[in-house]
Amino acid sequence: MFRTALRNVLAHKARLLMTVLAVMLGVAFVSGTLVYTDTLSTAFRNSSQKSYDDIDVALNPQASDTVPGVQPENPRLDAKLLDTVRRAPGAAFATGIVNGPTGIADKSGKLIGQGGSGSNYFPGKDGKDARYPMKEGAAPTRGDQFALDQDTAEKGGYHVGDTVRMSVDGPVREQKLTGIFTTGGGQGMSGGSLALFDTKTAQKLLGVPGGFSEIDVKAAPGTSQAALKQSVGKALPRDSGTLTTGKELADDQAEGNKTSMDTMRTALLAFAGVSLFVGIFIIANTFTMLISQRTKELALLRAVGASRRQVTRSVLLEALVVGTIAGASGMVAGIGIGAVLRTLGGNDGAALPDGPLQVTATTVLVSLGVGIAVTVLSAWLPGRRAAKIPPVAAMNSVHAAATTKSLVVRNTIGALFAGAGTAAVLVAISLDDGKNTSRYMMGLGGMLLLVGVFVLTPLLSRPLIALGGPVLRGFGISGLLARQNALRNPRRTAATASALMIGLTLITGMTVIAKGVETGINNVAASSLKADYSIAMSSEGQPLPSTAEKQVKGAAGVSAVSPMRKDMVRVGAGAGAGSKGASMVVGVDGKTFGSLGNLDFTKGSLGSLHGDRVVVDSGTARDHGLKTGSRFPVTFPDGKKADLTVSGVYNGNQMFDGIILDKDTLASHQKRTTTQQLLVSMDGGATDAHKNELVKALGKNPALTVSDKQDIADAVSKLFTILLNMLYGLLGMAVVVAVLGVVNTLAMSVFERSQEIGMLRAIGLDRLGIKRMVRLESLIISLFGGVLGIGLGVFLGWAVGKLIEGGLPTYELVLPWGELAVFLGLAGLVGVLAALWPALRAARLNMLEAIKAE
Amino acid sequence: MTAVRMATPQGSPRTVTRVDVPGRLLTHDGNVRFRFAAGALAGTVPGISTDRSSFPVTTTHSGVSRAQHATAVAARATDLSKVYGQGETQVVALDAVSVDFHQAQFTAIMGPSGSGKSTLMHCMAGLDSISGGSARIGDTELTGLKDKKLTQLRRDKIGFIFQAFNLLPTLTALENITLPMDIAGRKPDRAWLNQVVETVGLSGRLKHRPSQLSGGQQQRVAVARALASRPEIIFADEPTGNLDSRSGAEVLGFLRNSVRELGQTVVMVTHDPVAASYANRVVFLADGKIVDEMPDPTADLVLERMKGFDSKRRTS
Repeated sequence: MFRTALRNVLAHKARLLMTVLAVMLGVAFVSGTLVYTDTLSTAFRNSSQKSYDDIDVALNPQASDTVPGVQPENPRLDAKLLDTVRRAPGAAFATGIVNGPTGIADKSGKLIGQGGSGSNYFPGKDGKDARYPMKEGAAPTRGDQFALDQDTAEKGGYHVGDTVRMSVDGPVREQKLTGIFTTGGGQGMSGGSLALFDTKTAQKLLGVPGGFSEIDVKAAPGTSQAALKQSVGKALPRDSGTLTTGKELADDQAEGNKTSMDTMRTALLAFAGVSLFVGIFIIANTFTMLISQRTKELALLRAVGASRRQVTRSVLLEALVVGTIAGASGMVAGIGIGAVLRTLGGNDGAALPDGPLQVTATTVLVSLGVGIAVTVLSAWLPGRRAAKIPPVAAMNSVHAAATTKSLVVRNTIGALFAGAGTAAVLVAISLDDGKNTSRYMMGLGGMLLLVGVFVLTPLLSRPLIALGGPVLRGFGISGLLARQNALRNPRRTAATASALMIGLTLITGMTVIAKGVETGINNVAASSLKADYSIAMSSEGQPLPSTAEKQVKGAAGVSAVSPMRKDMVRVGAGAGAGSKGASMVVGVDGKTFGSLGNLDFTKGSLGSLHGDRVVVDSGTARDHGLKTGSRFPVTFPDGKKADLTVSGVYNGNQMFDGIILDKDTLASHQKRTTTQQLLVSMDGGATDAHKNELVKALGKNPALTVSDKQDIADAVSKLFTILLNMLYGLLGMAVVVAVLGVVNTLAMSVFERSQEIGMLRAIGLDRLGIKRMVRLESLIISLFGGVLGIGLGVFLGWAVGKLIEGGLPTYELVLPWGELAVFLGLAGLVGVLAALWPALRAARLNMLEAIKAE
Repeated sequence: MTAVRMATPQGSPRTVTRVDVPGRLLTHDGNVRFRFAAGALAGTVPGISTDRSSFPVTTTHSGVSRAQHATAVAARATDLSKVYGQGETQVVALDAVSVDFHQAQFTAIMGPSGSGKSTLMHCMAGLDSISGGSARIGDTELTGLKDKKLTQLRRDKIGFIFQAFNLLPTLTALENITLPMDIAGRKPDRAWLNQVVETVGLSGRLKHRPSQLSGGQQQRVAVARALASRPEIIFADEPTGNLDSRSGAEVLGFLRNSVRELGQTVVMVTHDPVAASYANRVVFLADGKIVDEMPDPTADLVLERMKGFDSKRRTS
C-alpha cells in the first residue's frame, strides 16, 4: 500500500506542487517564528547574564509600602550609605549609580532615536569604570563634559571634542564630548542612547542631588553573592533599601524577557496558524480533485479486493508523504527566515544582542508535526469520500461526472452556523457589559459566522458570480465560458475563494477597527482639549524637565498653562496592603484647568478646583460609590491621609482620567513633583509662530514635543499606520497561500478540461481567447472571495467596534472606502497573478493530444 | 495484468468509453428512442422531401450534384508529408500524399490503423503542422500560416466532428451549436440555424445540457455545430466510433444529406466500411501513402478492399 501511495505522489508531482508550497509556507512561518524567538531568547539570556556579571549585590531604594505600586519618592541612597556598603565585610568594591533620562540631539537639533538615558562614570581604584571601556578620548571629569556610546556617536556624526546639545532634567545643556565608549553588553540592549557624566554632574543633571539611584556591590574573592547580601544587609541601617543578588537580577530580567518573547511568539504563531488554516482548504481541494481524477483507479482497487479502509489509508499515506516533504522543506525555509530576521532585527536601530542561531529539537518536531498533521487531517475527508467509490465505477464513465450532490444538507448546516453566529454577535453587542462575557460571546459568534459562511460559499457563489455577468458579457465567449467554468463545481470554487476570504476578512476587520479607534482617539483630542498645545517628552512616560513649566510661562503670548502631574493614591479608609483601592490622581492648575481641558461631566461640574475639591472619573466613582458631594478618604504617597470632596463626576478618556485635583493639594504630599504634560493656551490660538515661540522658550529642547491638535491626530494616525502595516505584513502570508490555492485550482481545472480546451482551439478559439477564459475564471473566483471577505470583515469590524465603544465612547465606525477599494483591487490582482501560469499552460496545450485524451 | 493497465491513466480509455455509451443509452425510455429513430428517418428517407424546397441546393440527384461541383476543389494536398521524431525514432506518417477533396462531395478516408488517415485529416484541417509539401483549404495555403491565422481559418472555414463528441458540458445544446459563431463574434443566421436544428431533430432538446442527452443526440449536436456556421469544409474524425449502429446510421445520414441537399463538403476518417459506404468516394491510405480510390462505394466493396490490405500485410 505504501508503495502505491509513493508512486501516486511521484506520478502527480506537478499537481501536488502547490499543496506542498502552501503547507511549506505555513510551516516555514511556524519554524521561522520558533527559531527567531529561540535565538532572541538565548541571546537576551546570555546578554543579561553578562550585564550582571559586574554586580554581586545591588541596593535599590525601598519601594514605598504605603501606596502599593507607587515608585518611591526621592531615593535616599547617599554617599554615606555608599561608604557603609563599601566597608561591609566581604565587599570588594561598591559603585554608586545615577540614572535619569537624557536625550541627545543630532547636529540639526533633532532627538537621536527615541531618546535615551544618562548615567555616571564611576572610576574604580585604577581610575577607570570597567563597565564603560573608552574607545576614543577620555572619561568626563568636569561639569561641562560628557562621554557618549559609540552607536549614538555614529548616528549623530559626533567626534571627540564636539559640543553636543542634550536634554536633561532642567534647561537644555551643551556639553563637550570627551570620550566615546563601547557598551560591554546589557546597556546597549535598551536601544537608546547613553550619555555619561562624572558623578557630581550626573547627580545635578539627572535630578538626584547628592544621591544615587542604585548601589552595586562587587564581592571580594571567596565571598558568595548570598553571603555578601547578608553581610551588606547587616551593615546597613534598617529600611535603607532592597538588596538583590546579581543572579536574582539576571533571573528577573531573563524572566521578563521570556515573558515578552512568549507574547511575541504567541502572536506570531497565531498568524502562522491563519496561514496554515488557509492551507487546509488548498490541501483538501487538491486531494478531492486528485481523487475524482482517479476514480476509476480507486474503484479498480476496490474491485480487486481492497477494503474501504485500505483505500482511505492509501490516500492518507499519500498525504503523509506530501506532509513530510512539505514539513521538512518548510522547516528548512523557516530556519532561513529566522536567520534573515535576526540580521534584519540587528540593523533596525533597536540593537538586539548577538547570539548563535538556535534550532532546537522542539522546533524540528513541531514543524514536521504541524506539516504532517495539517496535511493528513485535510486529506481525511477526501480520503473517506474515496472509500465510498463503488467498485463498479471501474467499469463506468470516463470521468465520474463531478458529483453534483445536492447541497441541501450543506446549506442547512451553513445557514444554522451563520444564523447562530450572527445571533451571538448581536447578543454580544446588546449585552455589552464591558466584561469578558460579551467578548467571549463575540469571539464565539465571529467564529461560528465565519464557519457558516465557509459552508455556505457554494450557495453564495451562484448569485454573487451572476452579479458579475453583465461585465463578463463584454468579454464575449471567453467571459461566458469563464463564468460557467467558475460555477461548474461550486464546492471547488467555494474552497478556493474561502482561502482568500479568510485573509481578507481579517485584514478588512482589523482595518475597520483600527480606523474606528483612530477616529475615536482623534475625537477625544478634539473634544476634550481646549488648550492649543500639549507639551510632553518624546519618549512616552518620562517626566518633563523641572524647569519646563517656568520656561513656558515666560514665553510671549501664553494665556494659560496647567501642568498634569500624575501620581497614585489609595482610596478608602482601610490601611490594608494590596493594590486594591489604588487610583490615579492628576494634579492640575485649578485656576487655569477650566480653560484648557473640557471634561464630559455626567454629574456636577468642575467648579473651582482647589483644596479638597476634586472631580472623579465615572469608573472610579462607580468603584468606590462616589457621588457629587461625597467626601472620601485617600492615602497620599507620603503616607498621610486626607479627605476629599467630589464636585463632579466625568467620563474618563485617553486624555483625562482619574481623580483630578489642584496641584498644590497634591504637591503638599509630594517630596518632589514630576510633571508629565503641560497644557498651554495662547492668545490667538495655534499658529506656527506660536509653536516656534514655545519651542524657543523651551530652549529648543530636543527631547520635548510641542503638539497642537493636528500634531496629536497625526501622531495617532502614524501609530495606527505602523500597527496596520505590521498586521498586513503578517497576514500577507495567508494571502500568498491563498494565491497558491487559486493557482492550484486553475491548474487542476485546466488539466481536467484539456479536452474541452483542445476542442475550443480546434473550432477556432485562439490562444488569447483561451488565456482570457482562464484569467477571467481566476478573476471571478478571487473577486468572489474578496467580496465575501471584505463584507464579512466590515460586519465583524462593526460588531467588535460596538464593544470597543464601551471603553472608548468616541469610537466611530468609519468605513475606509479607499482601503476597501484597495483590498478588492488586491483580490483582483491575486486573480490575475494566479492565472498567469495556468493560462499559459492552457494556451500552449497540444490540441490533438488534448482532443484524443479522455 | 491487462486489467491493471486499464485502470491506470495511461491505460486504454477508449475501451471503457464504448462500454459506457450504450449503457447510458439503455437508461433512456422508449419514447426517446422512438423520436430518435424518427429523426434518423428524416435524414435518410426521401419521403421528407417537403423540407427540401427550402434548401439552397435544389437538385436531389447525387450524381448531378457531384458533376456540377467536380471541378471545384474544396481542399487539396500536394506532396503532403508529415514526419514525427528525428533520426532513429523517425516515423513517416504521411509520405508525399497528393489528394483533392471536391466541393459538395462526401469523401471517406480509410485505411488500417497507423496508415496515416487521421494525420492526413489533422494536417488538412490545420490542427497539426506540416513537414513538407502543401495543404490548401480553398485558396488558402496552410503551410507557413501562424497560429493566429490558422485558428481564424479553422473558425471561419472549417467545421469539426470528433469521435468523443467534444461538447462543452457547461453549455446548452443550442449554445454548443452556436459556439463557433460566438467565438467569431458573429450573429448566427436564425433561419439557417432553425433549419439545421430541425434537420438533425434537436428542436425539443436545445435547452438540455450534454449530460442530459444520449450519445447519439450529443453527436447530432456536434453535427449541427459543424453545419451551423456553413463552413467550406467539414472534417469528421470517426464520428460514429462511440455510437451504436442505429445512432451511427443517423449521424451518417445527416452528413450524406448535408452533402446532397445543402452542398456541404465533408471529409470523414473512418475504419468502418459501413460508414464509408455513405460517402461518394473512398480514399484508401496505407503506410502514409494513398494506395487506392473508390467512387460510389458500398460496404461490401470497401470491406473486400480492406481485406485485401490485411492479407497483403499478412503476406508481406
